[in-house]
Amino acid sequence: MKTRIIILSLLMTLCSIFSACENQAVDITVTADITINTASVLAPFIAYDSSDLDMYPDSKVRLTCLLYDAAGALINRQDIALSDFSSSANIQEKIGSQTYTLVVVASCVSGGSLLKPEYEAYSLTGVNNLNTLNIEQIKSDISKVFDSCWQVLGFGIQENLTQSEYEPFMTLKPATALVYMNFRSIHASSNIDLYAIGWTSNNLMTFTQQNAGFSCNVDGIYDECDIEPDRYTSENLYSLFSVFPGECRTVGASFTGNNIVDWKQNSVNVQAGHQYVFQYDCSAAALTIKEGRL
Amino acid sequence: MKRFFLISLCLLFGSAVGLFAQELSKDDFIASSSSGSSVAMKIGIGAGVNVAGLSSSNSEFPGTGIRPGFNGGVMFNLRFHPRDEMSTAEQGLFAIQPEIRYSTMGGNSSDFKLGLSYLTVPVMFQFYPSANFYIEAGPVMALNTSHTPNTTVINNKQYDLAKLKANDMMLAAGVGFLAGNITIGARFNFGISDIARNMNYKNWCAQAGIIYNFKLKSHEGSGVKKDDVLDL
Repeated sequence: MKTRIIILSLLMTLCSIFSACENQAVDITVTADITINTASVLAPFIAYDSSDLDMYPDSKVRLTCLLYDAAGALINRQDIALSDFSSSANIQEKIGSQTYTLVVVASCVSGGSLLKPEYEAYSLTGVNNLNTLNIEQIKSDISKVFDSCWQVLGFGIQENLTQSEYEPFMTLKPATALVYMNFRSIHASSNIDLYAIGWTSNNLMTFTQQNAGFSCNVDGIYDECDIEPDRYTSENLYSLFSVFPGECRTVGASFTGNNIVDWKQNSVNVQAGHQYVFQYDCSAAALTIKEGRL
Repeated sequence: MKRFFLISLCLLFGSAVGLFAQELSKDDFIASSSSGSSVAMKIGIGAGVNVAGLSSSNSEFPGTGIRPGFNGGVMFNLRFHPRDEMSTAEQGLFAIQPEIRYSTMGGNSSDFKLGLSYLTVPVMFQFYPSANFYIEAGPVMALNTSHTPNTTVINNKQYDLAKLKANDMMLAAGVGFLAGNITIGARFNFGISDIARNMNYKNWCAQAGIIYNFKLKSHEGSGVKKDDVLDL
């Protein structure tokens, strides 16, 4: 009797334990192959004058791909060099079972290496965490701004990136608002000048005299912006400023809101001895022009 | 549903074991009467070849082709319930055969190869329509001992198998033929458990092999002594 009970109990227990146990999950990694289209960065602008948005011969587009985990920690960074904003790139990111955020930033660099170029239009700081990521325009190399896409910033974000849901194509959007100055009737040699102006990290685009063409004043400091109204016209000095589409987008500390920058136009009478400051508030989508005497 | 099925299986298995134990305890290895209640015990060593694969009802996991392998181990056979009053337990109608068997499984396909090795414990319930031919069925507890490789890619997903346990509960059924001390058998095993919670593959394995048996003990209803040990 005792033998029977022991054998029966032992076998039933073993069978029950074995059948009840479920094997644990294994780690799964998916390699997401994503094609990044950068041509879309300049697409909203080239209708006006595409030749004004060429790259400088010694510069290239740096595509920085930052993959963050659910906690916002940087998992992987890839930097790719592209010849210009018309190129596409393929990146492969290994995605685990959690939710990720992929941030792709395209900006211009020149010289040096991709990570340490001699010149760059935008600097990326705080990249180790999504919450500290900061993308800031560098304004030191003014000469590269004029008549080029040097200061253009493209970006793309895939939030809630998972193994089952990721977009195989990422179309970068412009994060730069271009300001177009039409020196109507006050500029004899060229009545159209185009300036690429970036943005700052605090949602406020400030176009000041530090930004290339806007450094003009009516006394004419730069050849490119030699406004001599008295010489060509007796009309009131008149300039038309247009802000072309760009986007403000939330990423960590750098972006807030998701406002598309609509067309904004404004005009001002340019007066000798004055400085003009143009500010664009992404949140309010408002363009303001301030002037002050130099 | 699966849990219910497994519990039912366990109960069935337990009942069968209980029946056997009851049979065992009737005479407690002592010939008690001429009723024919007796048990013939054999121990065997065997080896054979495997044809294994992995199947899945999840379209994300394509079925594999076959993976050849081998198996080998020891078996303990307890045969009982003589056919009639004149026959012995060695020609009984039923037998229970617990085994400890090493077996390779897994699957090969054009995209990946996965090798799994198991220490299996089948407990087979055998029915003998004739004295030398049996059909069998029973549960198999399978403890995964190794796997190769450490990573595999299936449908663009890379599976890190470092944490793979792949223990399995299987059902087996087969047939066999006895020729003297030799048993020739074939068996099909089908896994009930997924090899991992998020890797919905189930093992299947067809086995064919040969067993050499040593008689351990036989108690006959006609009055064989309690501690007879024969032919080892």
